[in-house]
Amino acid sequence: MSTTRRDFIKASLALAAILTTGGCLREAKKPSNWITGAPDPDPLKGDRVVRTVCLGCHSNCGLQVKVKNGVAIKVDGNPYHPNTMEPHLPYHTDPAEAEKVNGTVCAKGGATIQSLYNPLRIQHPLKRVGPRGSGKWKTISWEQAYDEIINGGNLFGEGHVDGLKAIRSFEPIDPNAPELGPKANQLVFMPGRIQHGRKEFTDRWVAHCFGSINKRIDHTSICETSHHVGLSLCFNGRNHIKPDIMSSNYIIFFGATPYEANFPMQALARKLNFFRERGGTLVIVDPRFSNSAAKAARWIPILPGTDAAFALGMMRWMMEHKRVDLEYLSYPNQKAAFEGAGHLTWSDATFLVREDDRKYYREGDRPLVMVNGILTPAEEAKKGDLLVDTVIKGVRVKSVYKMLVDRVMERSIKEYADICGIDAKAIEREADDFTSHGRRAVADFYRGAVQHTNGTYTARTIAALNILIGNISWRGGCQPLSGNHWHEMGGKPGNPYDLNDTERFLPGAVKPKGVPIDRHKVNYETSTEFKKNGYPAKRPWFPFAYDHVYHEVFPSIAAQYPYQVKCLITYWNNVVYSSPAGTHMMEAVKDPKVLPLFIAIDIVMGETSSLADYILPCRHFLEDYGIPHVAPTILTYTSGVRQPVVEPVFKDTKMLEQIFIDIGIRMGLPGVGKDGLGPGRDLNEPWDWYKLLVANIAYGDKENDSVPGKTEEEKVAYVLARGGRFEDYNESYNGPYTKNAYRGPVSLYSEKLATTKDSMTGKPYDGLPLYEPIKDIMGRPIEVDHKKYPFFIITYKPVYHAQARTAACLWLMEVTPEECIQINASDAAKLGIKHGDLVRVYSMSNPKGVEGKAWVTEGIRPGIISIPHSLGHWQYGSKPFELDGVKTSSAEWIGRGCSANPVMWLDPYLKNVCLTDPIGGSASFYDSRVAIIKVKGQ
Amino acid sequence: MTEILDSKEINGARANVYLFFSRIFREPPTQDLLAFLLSERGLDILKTLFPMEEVLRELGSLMEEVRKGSLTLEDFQLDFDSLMRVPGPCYVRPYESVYRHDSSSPGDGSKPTLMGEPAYQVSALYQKAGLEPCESTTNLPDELTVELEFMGHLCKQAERSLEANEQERAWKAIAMQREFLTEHLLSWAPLCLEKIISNAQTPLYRTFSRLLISFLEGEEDLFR
Repeated sequence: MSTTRRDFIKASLALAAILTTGGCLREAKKPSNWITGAPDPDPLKGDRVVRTVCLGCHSNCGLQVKVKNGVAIKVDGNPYHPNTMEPHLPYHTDPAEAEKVNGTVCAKGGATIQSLYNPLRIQHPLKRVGPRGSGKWKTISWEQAYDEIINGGNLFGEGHVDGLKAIRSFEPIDPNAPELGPKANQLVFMPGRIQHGRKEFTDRWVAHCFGSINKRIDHTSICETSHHVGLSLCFNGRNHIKPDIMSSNYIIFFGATPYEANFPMQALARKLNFFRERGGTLVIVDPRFSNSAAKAARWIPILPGTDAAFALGMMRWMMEHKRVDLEYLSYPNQKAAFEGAGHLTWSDATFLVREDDRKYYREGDRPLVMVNGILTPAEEAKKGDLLVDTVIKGVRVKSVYKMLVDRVMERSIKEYADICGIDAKAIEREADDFTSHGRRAVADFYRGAVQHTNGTYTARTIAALNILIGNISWRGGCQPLSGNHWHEMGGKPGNPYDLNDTERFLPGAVKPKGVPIDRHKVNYETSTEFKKNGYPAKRPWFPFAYDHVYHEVFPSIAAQYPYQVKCLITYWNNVVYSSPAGTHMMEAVKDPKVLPLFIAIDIVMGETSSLADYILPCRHFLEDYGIPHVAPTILTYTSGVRQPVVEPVFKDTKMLEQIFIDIGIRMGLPGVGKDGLGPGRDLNEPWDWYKLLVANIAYGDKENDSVPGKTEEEKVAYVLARGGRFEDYNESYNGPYTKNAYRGPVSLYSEKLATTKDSMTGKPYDGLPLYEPIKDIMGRPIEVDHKKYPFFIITYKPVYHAQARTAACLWLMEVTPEECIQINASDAAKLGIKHGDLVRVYSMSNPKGVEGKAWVTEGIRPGIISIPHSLGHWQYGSKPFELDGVKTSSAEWIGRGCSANPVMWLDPYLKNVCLTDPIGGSASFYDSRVAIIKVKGQ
Repeated sequence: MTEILDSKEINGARANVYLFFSRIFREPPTQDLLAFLLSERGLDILKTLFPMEEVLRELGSLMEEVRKGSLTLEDFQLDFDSLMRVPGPCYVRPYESVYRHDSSSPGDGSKPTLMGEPAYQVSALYQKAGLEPCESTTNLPDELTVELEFMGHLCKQAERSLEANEQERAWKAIAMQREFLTEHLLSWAPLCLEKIISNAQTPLYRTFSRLLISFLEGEEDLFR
């Protein structure tokens, strides 16, 4: 069969008859290109681009903000920053070229424009004109505010109030308890979210310029501090682990939802997509069917607070099926581990522990191990015996691994599973899978697993899973370091400014001393109170909670324990809204006789700021500086630089640093004003500080590590143009390891923990991985009628919200469902609750409870109620206050929904603070039991 | 290249064929289109254009099945959607960037992505040829039917230039046809069409994919 040319032409003409519909292309004299600008067509063109770092949550993603006529019009991801692209742009890329590329930004980041231009921001300094918390304010000048705060006086017609000048005394607070330190400690600085660059600045001011030990009691205890504390007790001070997702094959997340929260969320989610495409197995352990569970191979709806039991069950299976890397565990020092099997880390599994005093068995100060039954210093042995249980000179000693085996074998897998409320097969399956990928499997966790009274133990127990398979610092394994950064505070060989060197950079520096108001990092046994009264302390002391105990500050102020606070300065702090049972804390700061002076630095009328005497308006983070770091999710060196994107929207606001500088200069404090940063270096404005930090980053941590530029100014400009300094993506690995790998000891046993006594019970803590049931501060189980309160209440952060601040963004609230109280469909059916019904959730600590609409779903374990963060504001612009005798405007939608925090349990012994992990200091968010009833149908 | 390309009629005829196939794979079939394709006249036209016995036999049986009612218009529409529009098991991702992805591209290279380098290249060629996207267009520039349509436009440009005796302009259009065919269309469209042949749930799109492959083979010979 063939066709002629003529027939072909003829037939084709017939085809033309059916071509009636239009195509995609048309002719044009000056044709436009199909693709213009970025791959994602972006109709908004700015006249300049500024690269900064987000603070919509704590992920610290780089931003590329378009600015037009001085207005920030669009927020994209900074393509140089590793949080926003895979891979991120090479650092040498020309900044103009980089404008053609947009990194990703999440909904929270994109919506930050709305919190920047929020008309409900505080625009001038305010002073209360009614009783504290009455909602009556007047506008004052900065000069008046500074004068009154510094000099005090009869400020409110309620009697004399000491100002900062009077408080800054170096006389002892209590001559009979000198350990409490000087009266200057009666100034407490309590920021909520505060980040690097800024926290070093305020630490310097409060501690070394003013002289208070209470330099920074920030929010971490309501975030995940037991995660930090538990890990630092495993990894020699390194307090954060993350899986190397891009090279891992199996990841089990306990109490974390990386597709919604955690940090950096968008990098976690993006990397997990690549991981899953490669066939990686993602497992989510969480009572709630989160976005992450929806993407996971398996969802394990465990009972809250039982994650350690699950991990111990996995350990039992691993031990019984020879799936523990005994070879790794047998190396007792760095040299042996590296030469034996190439490990960068080594464990204490072979170290001997004395039964009598719970310390390592030592010769001098050298821990000992057994090598074929012969005592040998750990640092000299090539391998140690793992299963030692013997008596030496009358003292029973066991190796750490033997202790762990004994601990793990205390319960059967079924018993562990029963604690978790799941089938034993779930534990066995994960133990099998976890140990089927060599070192490319990781157990990770976050706040869901540790914001419990047993949080630190749980953190150490889950971390131990990684140690048992020897995956630490290996490619595809568990990373306790990575996410590293150039040292902005200096002190490394390449850095020009060692800002921690107070002799050179803070002439006249004060050395603070004493006990912080929350008693963090102080052992109760060192106090006069202990010598007088013994156990229990009046309130708990937290020798391991180095991240502070934020939620304990207000109750301590109320109790004036261990001393009275005379001035509280908060910054971006909303402790009464964000803490479990936080609403109970409000009374604690309302009495001026107990707390004479309360200054809030904030951008809005927050729930906590509304209780202050003065509110000093500060800047939004798009008007601010900062040097935020990133989590070990990112394998390459990352030093983001936050810088003002636009001129201040409200001109009478100030950067936090400026407020402290102004006060410091007026008080004549060392370290501010002329030569404040050492001879020839004045500190009059924030940039005076930040330019030194950025210069340190620009020069780098090693000799010849500098960015391009002939002068310091040029180098700084190079960094600012890119929004920070970023190591190239191809530097992620070094052969079989991650490049910025942790190289140090790992501890299955914490000698420090095991030899420290709890300030309330007087009993020593446990040094091993452990499952401990939920308890009160006295170590007692909590009595509750399960029939009356049949549900656990838990919280989570939806992908479009952080804690408190995102409620002020209309775009985010518009995508937030009206129904916020999640309940399992079978539970709802039993209670006659339908989706959308108005329901009330209440507890024994809050019988009145909170009300909101029900979200009936199969995506939550029966017996659990879940309410997301960010909703249920009762201030924050959601309702008006009185300013200069006039009612302000407000936006009701900011207060939509309800929060779980008000119904969470108070500690039954202390009665004015939530349940708390006595080791890490974490506030318990997931241990309270509640009831739910229908209030009204739809 | 063969002399046949000097013919304005041949360029016009090729344009019609390209635009025909662009239409076939751009939108789901309508009742009118189906009626034409499966009519005696339609079949005769296709027989003349594509003298491929086996394929045409399949079209004949298809015509019979439609007559009997065992295949309906809805079946073809569903088939079209699942092949060309809906990311499901049959979806062929009809984009050049997908078939010509660079394994060293972002990520681990295991999955091709949309809007790769080819999309930018073809977009630049469209502009060079004096063409821009219609306002209503939501398609990506390297989608199969856009590339077919572009070849149709280039053939028409050559036809018009030859008719106006603008030899140089005609040759520019023909040279661009060659460039586009060899650098782009022929490098991936047959792979995509093979995928349609294997994923299609009805004989209609299998048949037209075979016809288009055959036509493109002829085009390749034409420029050899």
